[in-house]
Amino acid sequence: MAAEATEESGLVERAQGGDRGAFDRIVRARFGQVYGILFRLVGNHEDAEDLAQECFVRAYQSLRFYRGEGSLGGWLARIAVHLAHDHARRGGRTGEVVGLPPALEPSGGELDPGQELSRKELANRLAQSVERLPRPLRVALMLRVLEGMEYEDVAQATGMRPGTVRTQVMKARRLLMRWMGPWLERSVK
Amino acid sequence: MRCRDVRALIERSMDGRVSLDGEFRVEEHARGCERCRRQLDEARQLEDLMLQLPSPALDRVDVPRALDAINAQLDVAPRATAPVRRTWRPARIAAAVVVLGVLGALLWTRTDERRPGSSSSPASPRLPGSTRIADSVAVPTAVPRPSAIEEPASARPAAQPRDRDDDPSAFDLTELVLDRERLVWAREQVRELIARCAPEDPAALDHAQAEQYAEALDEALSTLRSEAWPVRRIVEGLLDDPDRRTADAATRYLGVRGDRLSLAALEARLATDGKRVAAHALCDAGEPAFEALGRAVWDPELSDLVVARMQSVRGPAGVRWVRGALTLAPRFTRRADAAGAAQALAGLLARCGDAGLDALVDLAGHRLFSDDLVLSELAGAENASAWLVETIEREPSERDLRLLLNAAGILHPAEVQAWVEELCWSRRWASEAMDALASFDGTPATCDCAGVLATLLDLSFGLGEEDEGFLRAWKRAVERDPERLARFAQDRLDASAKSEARRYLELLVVSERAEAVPAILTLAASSQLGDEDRERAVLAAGELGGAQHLSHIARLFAGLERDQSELAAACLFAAHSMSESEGIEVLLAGLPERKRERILALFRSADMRRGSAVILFKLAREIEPVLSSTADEPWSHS
Repeated sequence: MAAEATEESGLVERAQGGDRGAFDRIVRARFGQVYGILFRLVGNHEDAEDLAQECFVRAYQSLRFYRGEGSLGGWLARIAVHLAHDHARRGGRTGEVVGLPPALEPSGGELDPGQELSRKELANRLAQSVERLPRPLRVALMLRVLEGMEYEDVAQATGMRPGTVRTQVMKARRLLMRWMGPWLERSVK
Repeated sequence: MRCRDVRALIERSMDGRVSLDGEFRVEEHARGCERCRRQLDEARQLEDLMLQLPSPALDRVDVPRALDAINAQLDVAPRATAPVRRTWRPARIAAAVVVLGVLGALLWTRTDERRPGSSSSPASPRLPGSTRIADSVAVPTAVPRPSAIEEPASARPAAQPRDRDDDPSAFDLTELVLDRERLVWAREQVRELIARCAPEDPAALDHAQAEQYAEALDEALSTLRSEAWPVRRIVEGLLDDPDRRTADAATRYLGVRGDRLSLAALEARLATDGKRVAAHALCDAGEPAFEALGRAVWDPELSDLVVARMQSVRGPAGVRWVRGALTLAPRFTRRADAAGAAQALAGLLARCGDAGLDALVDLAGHRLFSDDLVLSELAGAENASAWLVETIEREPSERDLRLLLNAAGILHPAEVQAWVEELCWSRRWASEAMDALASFDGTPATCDCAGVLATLLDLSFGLGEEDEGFLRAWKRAVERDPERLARFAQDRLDASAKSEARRYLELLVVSERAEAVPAILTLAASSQLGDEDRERAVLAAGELGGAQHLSHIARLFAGLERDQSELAAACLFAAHSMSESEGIEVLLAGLPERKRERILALFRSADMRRGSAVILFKLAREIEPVLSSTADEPWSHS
């Protein structure tokens, strides 16, 4: 892990010096992460891919401002979150439910129809509840829980302090628990 | 380990922030506590569900193609190079000084060219989009036109090729000093003409009348002017004339026809008895006198006059003037001493359109501009709501957010409600945002009233009613509109959102507001809540409500059945709390007199200091036989 970070910081230094080859390697390594964040924030493949490209163009253009104070992932995520926000303001699709998750779609005969229905209902309910979360809470939850980012990186991406992000994620969880309560209760019984 | 501690640990464990020992203690507690067990199971299930959400389909992403696209864009718009650091070499500095010098000389010349020397001269520089600063005082004074004067030939100065007023560089003071007799004569001539043309009260002229007076005087002075007397300088010498009317008339003339030197003389007069006339004259002079007026406005005797005259200066020019005036405020002025002027300036900004409102917010941090002052002016400004919506769409800076939230709380345009709701979730602005949100109480056309309550209800889950800011906002929201509270309660019940309905009930009770009573009783009437909650709700309604709520209690009471005698007792107790025996009469209207009397006797004999449990028990026992076995048959057993 430390070796990867060192290698990445070496690539960043070279890219800051104008080495496009080094920047290409950064794009290859980080494109998936950036695309994933944008996909969750804008809700569709086409816009997420376009914005991911835009994110790397902007990253290259402002690479000289990156001083290695936070992780490169957090810095790229910050650009991505800003782009998604701008995209939403321009009237693009955003905050939409990211489809019915394949993992929760009918499982192909392993469960009985009642259980299938219950799983679908839960999945739908979860997607609706995530959508209903206020934007700051939704972004914090997505980056932390769904993207598995560290609090420090989420803080870097959202421009908040790590403690605030923790609070936001906790509030988001509480709300989801509250809204999902009746469904989960039924399911647990 | 208490349940509250366990629940906190469950939340942290979902985030992987609990030690193995902590996890074990949670498990151990949950084995013996049904409620915590269920919460733990639900939390884990939710976490599993979320973790099962897969990452977006990366197999759809063609990274090499994306890389090509990125490189193509970078080739078109390559990386911005670091800004070149400019160095100021001596040669450049010298060149800049020369250029500035030439520009300054040109400006000097042009400024003097614009100064009128006679009635036919072009007017002095004007503010954009306006003439001079209009006068709020209108006095219909006719300005007499003088006849031409006769001048002794011996007193005439040597003929000059042109008017010296129009060419200050041609003016030679030594010439006049050397010929003192001629100067005294000219001064007397000017004085006489001014006195002859002067209106009754020069201080009362409005701007148009001042122009008219200056035109008439110019005509009278034309002979002197044509002979190259520096008329303006001579008029300036009359500003301290012992005859007040002459001095005032000279002042007003210079306000309209004066040049840069005249403005300095007029400003000097601000320190004398003639300060009000001088202030009028400076207002006549317009933008060139802005700086002097910026100082004058802080004089308590002049601030009203100056601000009243400046009312006609709108838009960017008005904003510029107010900003300048604020920088010129006396350094050690206390806020209380300058309150009048500050308020007038803030009011002026509020009338300068969007630029003025932007400046108002920007100046909120000024030592003389309190937030309350800025907000009161914003609230009264024309188109303030539209301005607020636009400002928020432009993503305001953090520095302005508090003020804008307060403004949103006052103006509450529907377009910004979502923005306010979002800020309720931020740690830094939650308190202000909740306060603002609670004010969104307009008609359904301008406010999503249910949205306000829903957001506050959601927030309560995260904050709890012990949060001071939340409680304050909640109480304000409850005070706004009792009807919407009851409607919202019914919505929660219709949606079968039991936990939300229960939480809503708790918050309504905590608000301790009489306005909450109909909503509390709406919830109490629902069988979705447990009997215990319903009883507490009814008792709380009794404490908070008054006689006007008896009909709500009566409706609830009429629907109760025999196995709900405890709830019925709570209704009787609440009705008695609301309106004593009258309350009991309303609820038991269908019962025989004797029965009503027995129940009332219970209240009379009860020792209220010992709490309500005993009387509730007795009431329940007393009322049970008379409750119907079905709610549709009231008093079937009476």
